[in-house]
Amino acid sequence: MKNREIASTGGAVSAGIPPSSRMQKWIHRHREGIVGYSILSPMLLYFAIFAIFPALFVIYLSFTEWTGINGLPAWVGLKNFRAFFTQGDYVETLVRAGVYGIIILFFSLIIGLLIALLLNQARFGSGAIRTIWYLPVLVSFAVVAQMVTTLLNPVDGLAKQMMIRFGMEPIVFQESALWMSFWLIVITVWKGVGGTVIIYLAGLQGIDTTLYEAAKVDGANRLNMFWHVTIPSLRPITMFLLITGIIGSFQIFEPVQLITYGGPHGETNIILFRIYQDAFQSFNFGMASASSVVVLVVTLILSVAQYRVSQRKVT
Amino acid sequence: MVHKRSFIESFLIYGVLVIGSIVMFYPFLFQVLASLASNRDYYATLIVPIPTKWHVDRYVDIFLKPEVYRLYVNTFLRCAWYIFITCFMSLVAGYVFSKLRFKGRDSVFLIFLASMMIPGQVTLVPTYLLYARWPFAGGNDWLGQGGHGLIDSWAALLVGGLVPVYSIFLMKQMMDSLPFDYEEAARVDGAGVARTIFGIYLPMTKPILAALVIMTFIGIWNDYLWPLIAISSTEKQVIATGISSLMAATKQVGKVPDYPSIFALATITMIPPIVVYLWLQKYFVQAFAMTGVKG
Repeated sequence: MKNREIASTGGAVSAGIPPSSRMQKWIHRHREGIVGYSILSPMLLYFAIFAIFPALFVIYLSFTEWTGINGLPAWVGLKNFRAFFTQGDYVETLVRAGVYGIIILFFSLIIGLLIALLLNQARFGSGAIRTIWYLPVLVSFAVVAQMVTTLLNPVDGLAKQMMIRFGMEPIVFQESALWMSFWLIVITVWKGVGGTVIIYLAGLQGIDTTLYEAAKVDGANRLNMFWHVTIPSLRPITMFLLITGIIGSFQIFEPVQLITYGGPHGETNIILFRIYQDAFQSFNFGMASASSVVVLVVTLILSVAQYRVSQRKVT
Repeated sequence: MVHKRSFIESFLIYGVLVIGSIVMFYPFLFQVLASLASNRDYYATLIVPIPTKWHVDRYVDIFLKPEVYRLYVNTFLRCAWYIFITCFMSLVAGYVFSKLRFKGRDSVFLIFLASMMIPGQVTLVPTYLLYARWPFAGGNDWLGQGGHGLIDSWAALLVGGLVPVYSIFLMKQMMDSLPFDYEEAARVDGAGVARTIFGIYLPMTKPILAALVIMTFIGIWNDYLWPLIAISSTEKQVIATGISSLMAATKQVGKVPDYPSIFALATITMIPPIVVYLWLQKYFVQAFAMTGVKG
C-alpha cells in the first residue's frame, strides 16, 4: 500500500509538474477515480438503458395489457398472473421445461462424466476425441433442427423410407408427444454434452494429485479412490452444471420452434416458445411479460440455491 | 494416477471412447455425404448416403446465390463488430476493475455481476419493445409511436450487448492474477491509460482474448432468436435465421425438392465456427484451465 502511494504520487500524467493549486492536488489525488469513472460512466449509462430498464420494464408490463403497437399499456393488475396459474397451459409449459431439463441433465451428466473420465485416462488421441465431442456445441441449433425436421417428415422424410425398407410399419412421430419429446431430448443432449465433457475434464485435471497419493498410502484401491476422491472433488462442478442446466432448460427454443412446433396439441410446448407465441404471434405483450417474470423468479431462486450450495465446504 | 494398465483396460477405454465419438460424429458424416449425393442416393441410404456421383457443383451453386452471399457478409460483419467490442470492452473495463482503486468500484462491479443473474429470455419482450418504441427512429415520434423504431434495422443487430459482463468478469479474473509490478512500472514510466492497457496488458491477456474471440464468434454466428424477432427484411438477415428459412423453403417447392441441397446449406453454415474453434482451441482449453470453470 505504501509503495503504491509513492508510485501514484510520483507517476503518470503530472509527473514533474508540482501540483500548485488545490484543484490540481485534488485531481492528482483522485486520478484513479477520475479515470475509472470516465471509463465506467458511459458503460453505466448504456447498462441502465439496455439491462436495468428492460428488467424493470418487464415487471411493469406484466401488470398491463398491451399490443405493443399503438397506445400505451393498460393497467390490469394481477390478471395476467391469475391467467398464468389458472388458464391455458402456462404452468404445464414451465414444468415441462424443467422436466425436459432434468432428463437432459441426467443423460448429459452421466455421459459427460464417463467420457471425461475416459479421456483423462487416454494417452493418445484425446485431443481429437474431445474435439469431436465438442463439435455439436459449435454449430447452429436452428440448422440442426431444420435437418431433423427434414429427416422426420411424415410424408417424404428419410426416416419413413428407412422404416419401410426395414419392413416396419412407419411411425408418424409427429402424432406422438412421447416420440417428439424423445427426439427433442436426444438432439438437445447431443448438442450440449460436449460442453459438459470439457467442464468435467477441466475439473478432473484440477484435482490435487496429492489426494490420490494420500489415498494410495492409506491402501485404497482404484474404486475407493474414484468414490472417495474423484466424485467428492467433482461435486461443486456437478452442482454448478445441475443448476445452470435447469436454468438453461427455460431457454430451449429452436428444437421446439422448428421440430415439434410445440405439438402434438401443445404437448411438447415449453415456456420460452409459449412466451414467443404470446408476444410475437398474438401480440399479447402483457401475458408474455407475466410469463417472463415467473421465469425470472424461478431462475433467481435457483441461482440463490446454487450460491448457497457453492458456498458450502467440500467434505 | 500412475498405474500400469492392462491391455483389456486400454481396450475398454478406447472402445467406449471410439464408439461414443462415432455416434457423436455420425450426424456430421451423414450430412456431408448427403449434401454430395443425388436425391436417389439420398433415399437409398442404409447407414450413410453413398454418392454415386459427387455433386460438388451444389456448393458452387449455393455460393453463387446472392442471398447466401449476403447472409455470409452480414453475419461476418456482425461477428467482427462484436468481437471487437467484446475484446475492447473487457480489456478496458477489466483493467478499471482490476488495477484502479477508487470509491464505488466494487459496487459498480457488483451491479454488473448481478445482471448476469437475469437470463436473456426474461428480457426478450421488454428489449424488443425498447427497440420498437425507440424515439425518433424508424418513423417514431418522441413518444416512440408511429413507426417500427430500431426493429428491422442494422442497429437492432449491432446495438445490444455492448457491455459484455461475462467477458469483463473473465478479464478481471485474469488481470487480478497478474502482479501489480507491471502497473507500477507503467506509472513510473508515465504511460497513459490507453498505453498501459493496450501496450502492456493486451499482450499478456492474449489467451483470454482468444477464448473471447471463439465464444463471441460462435455465439453471434449461431444467434437465432433475436434476429428471428428483430429482423424481417431479407437483405439484413443473418445466417442462422436466413439459412434456416432457405432450408424450409427448399422443402416447399412444388416439384420434388432437392433434399441434398438442404444438407449442403446446413454444411456451409457449420464450417466457419468449426474452423475458428480448431484454429484457436489451444487457447480455449487454456482459458478454461486458467479461470477455473466458468460461472
